[in-house]
Amino acid sequence: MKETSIGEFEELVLLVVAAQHDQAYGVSIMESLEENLGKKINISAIHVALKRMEEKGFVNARFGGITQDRGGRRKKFYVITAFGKSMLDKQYEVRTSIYKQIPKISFS
Amino acid sequence: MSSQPPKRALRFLRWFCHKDHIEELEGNLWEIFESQKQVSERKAGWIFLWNVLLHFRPEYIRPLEGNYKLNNYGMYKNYLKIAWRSMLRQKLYSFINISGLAIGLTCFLLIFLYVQHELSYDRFYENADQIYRVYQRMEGNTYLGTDKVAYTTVGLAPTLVAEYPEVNHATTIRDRSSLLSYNENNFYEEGINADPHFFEVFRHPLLRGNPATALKKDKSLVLTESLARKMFGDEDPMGKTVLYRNIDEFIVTGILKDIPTNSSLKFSFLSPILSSTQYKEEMAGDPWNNNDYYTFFTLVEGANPLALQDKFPMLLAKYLKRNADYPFKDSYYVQSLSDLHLETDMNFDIGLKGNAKYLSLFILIGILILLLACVNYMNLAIARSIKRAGEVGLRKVIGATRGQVMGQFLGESVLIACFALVLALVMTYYLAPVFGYILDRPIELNFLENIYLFPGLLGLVLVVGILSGSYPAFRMSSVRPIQVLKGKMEGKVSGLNIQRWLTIGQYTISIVLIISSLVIYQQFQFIHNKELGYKTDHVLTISVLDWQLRNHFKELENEWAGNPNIISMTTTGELPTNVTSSTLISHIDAPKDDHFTIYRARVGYGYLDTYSIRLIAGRDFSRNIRSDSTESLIINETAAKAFGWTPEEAIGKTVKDHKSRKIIGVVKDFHMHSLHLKIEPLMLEFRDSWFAFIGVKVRPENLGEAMTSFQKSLGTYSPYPFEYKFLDDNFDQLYRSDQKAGEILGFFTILSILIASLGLFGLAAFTAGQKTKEIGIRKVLGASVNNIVNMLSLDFMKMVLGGFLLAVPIAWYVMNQWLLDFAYRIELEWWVFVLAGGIASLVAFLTISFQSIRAATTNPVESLRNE
Repeated sequence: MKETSIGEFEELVLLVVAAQHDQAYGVSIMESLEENLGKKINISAIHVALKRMEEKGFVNARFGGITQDRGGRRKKFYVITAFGKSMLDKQYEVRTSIYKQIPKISFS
Repeated sequence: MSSQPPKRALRFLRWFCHKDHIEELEGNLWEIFESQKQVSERKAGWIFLWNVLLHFRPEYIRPLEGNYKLNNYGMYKNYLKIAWRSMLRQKLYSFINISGLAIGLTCFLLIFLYVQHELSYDRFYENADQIYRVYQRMEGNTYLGTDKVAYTTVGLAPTLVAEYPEVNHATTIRDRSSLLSYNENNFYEEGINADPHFFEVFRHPLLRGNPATALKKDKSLVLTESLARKMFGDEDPMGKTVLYRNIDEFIVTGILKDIPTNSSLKFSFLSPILSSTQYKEEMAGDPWNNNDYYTFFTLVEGANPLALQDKFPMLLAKYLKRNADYPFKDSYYVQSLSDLHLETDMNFDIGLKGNAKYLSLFILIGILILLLACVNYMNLAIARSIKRAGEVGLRKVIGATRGQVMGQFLGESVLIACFALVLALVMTYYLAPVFGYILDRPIELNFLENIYLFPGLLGLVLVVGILSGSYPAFRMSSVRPIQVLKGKMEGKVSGLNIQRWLTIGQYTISIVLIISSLVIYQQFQFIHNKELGYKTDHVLTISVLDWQLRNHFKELENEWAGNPNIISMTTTGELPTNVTSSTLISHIDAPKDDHFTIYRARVGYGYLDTYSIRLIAGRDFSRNIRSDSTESLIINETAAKAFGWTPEEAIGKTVKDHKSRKIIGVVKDFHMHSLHLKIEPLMLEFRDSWFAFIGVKVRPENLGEAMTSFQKSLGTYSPYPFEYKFLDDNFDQLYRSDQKAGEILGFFTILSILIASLGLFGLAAFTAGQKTKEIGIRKVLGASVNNIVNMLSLDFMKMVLGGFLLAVPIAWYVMNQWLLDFAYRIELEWWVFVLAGGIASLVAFLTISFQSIRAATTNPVESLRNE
């Protein structure tokens, strides 16, 4: 078992994978992230994040069918695992609980 | 499909990318490409390429072996693995191999660095191969073993340029150390007096000033960078006034870069030779009637120096006016600047000298030691080959060709050589300065300054690896797989003969080196203990650098006369260790041509007492007899003999060189040169107005006190530094290069014995291992430990003996040649050879017995129970 921590960018990618349930693949994740974050993201970064998370067991992958597009290459679809989901939940909880501790005052 | 992603980028992606990821990556990139294509096709191509490059990272690069093999990489990897494992399994052998080779390589590298340094002398000038110098031979004037003289006349340089179009520049120089003073600070520095053409011949770069004019004007001065910093600190040196020799004011007109360490000409300042009165007078008078200058010149490109040399006899006939009774025959020769450093057969030569003879000796030793180490490797590899025969058999069965097996083993030896090289480099790095210190040379391992060193080393590793691996590889690859795999290893190890000869060869070399070291040591002992005719103990020699001191000598003498620490003192032009002046002498009534060369020492009162030279007839110069200072001579025994007189007969005879003088005393012969040379006729003439050394014999008890008082009283008369030596240092200096060669040789001898012992140790260990069963059975049958040790050692001792028998004639010949160089030498004695053989046998025996005793004392049950 490799380390089970998750990086910031990895977490974002994992969120997209979970959101696009069973239909997430490299380019779709990239487009979704670019849209949500409003900035350019390179595909290689996504690939690295996906590969690492696959090794950590946060996501599973399967290949789609051959089509006319993409030079005849199959898509590799990613789906979040239960472990990945629990990781996301934990991250979410940690953040909200800390967030709730912020005193309700205005910041200059 | 109209257009596709750039082919090259795609091919690159497919080449480096791991098979598991290629489809996903390629698909996604392709998709991006297609969507980008809508905007701009060209841009899409660039983005595709960019994306491909961004994926070129460890996560995606496939492992080198890949899954489908298009090469033999896996096989090579296996070779490496096996080599590594067999090294680890047999740690002792690997240790011996690697350390032996490393020591050998270290020696080789050290010697290489030294040789390289020696050969690099004077090659840093951009026009190095066009610079030559003129030297002359004076036939009939053999002096200190040679008739070559580096001095030429002052008129030569300008004449060369004027008469011969192929000579484009020529310069007249001489070396003069002088005192430079600035702001009351005195610096005694090595310098060169040069004419204005100096920089045309020696193109030393000037940091400041103009090379064309820097030496043109009288009383100008060019300093090296470091001397300028020493004298002026951070001040701007240009235009500063420096007190020169405590009399003249010279103005700094240029700053030189520091002279490289591999320059024959060593100086820290240049001053114009025009400022020398002697030079001016000689130029104004007959420029060809003197001999006190060095002439260097450059030839135009393509000119033949020998063709120029052939024209010299005419030149000399034209200019050199000799009297009819001039006794010598002059001839001039051309020599390349690059030969200057290793030219030792010349009198009064300029520059730092190397020794070509010792250089080639060192090269030989370096190669021999490397060979010794290679032989070690070979021997052990052959010995181990039996253990690895099974592996080779199996490889062959699976389909390895003979060439492949050879390649494997050659590769293995190259690998071991690489390990050894790394070790050797570390050792060389630390040892080089020490080695350089012994040799008095700045030697260091520097890859940056020496760009050919690294590729050269790789080449060396290949040569060493292949040299030492070739025979084992050849043998290993000839294993017959069927026999090996049937378990019938060839009972007799057929390589034994070769191994034996190799070991004998190793011992031959080692024993030759031991004998040489012993003989050289003996010769030095002989030199040290030889009755020299003078005593070197507690005699202090003070160099008189300041000629003005001579005017004050009377006062100094009076002052020191009261010093209780001084036994006696004298002044001399030449030290008794090295009399370098000579003249021609004849009996007053002798016919005109009946003269011979006699060495000449100019001495003051007290010379014989101070240096403890024995008088065997007549008397010393006396202050009370006025005529002694002008009309008397003292000669040595050899000179008396040369005249055909006994010492007693010689007293009162009148002889003449440039004037007639009466012999008042005869001294016992003393060695006025190194023992390389015979004792020649010598005369002592009285001269207290000119001297180069003050000799003082002091009482040993208060040496320190005496020294400080000397320094103090000298300091009141002269700003020059107090430079002194003990006479025995002067004496040692005569043999410095011999001594150094001896030390280095001793060092290498020890190393060679070490390497040979390492090899022998390995072989002995191996043989003992091979014979475990035999030893067990012998012991069961009643053999004693002694029997077994003898059995195991005898074979090896025979090899050492063989090496000894071969070594004796070689060493005898080599050492006789070496000793011939000394006019006074020891005889080679038989016991030296026996001693050397004894040392070698003892070391060998100790090496072997460790293994054989261990083998002999093992309990036979241990070795036999597996049967």
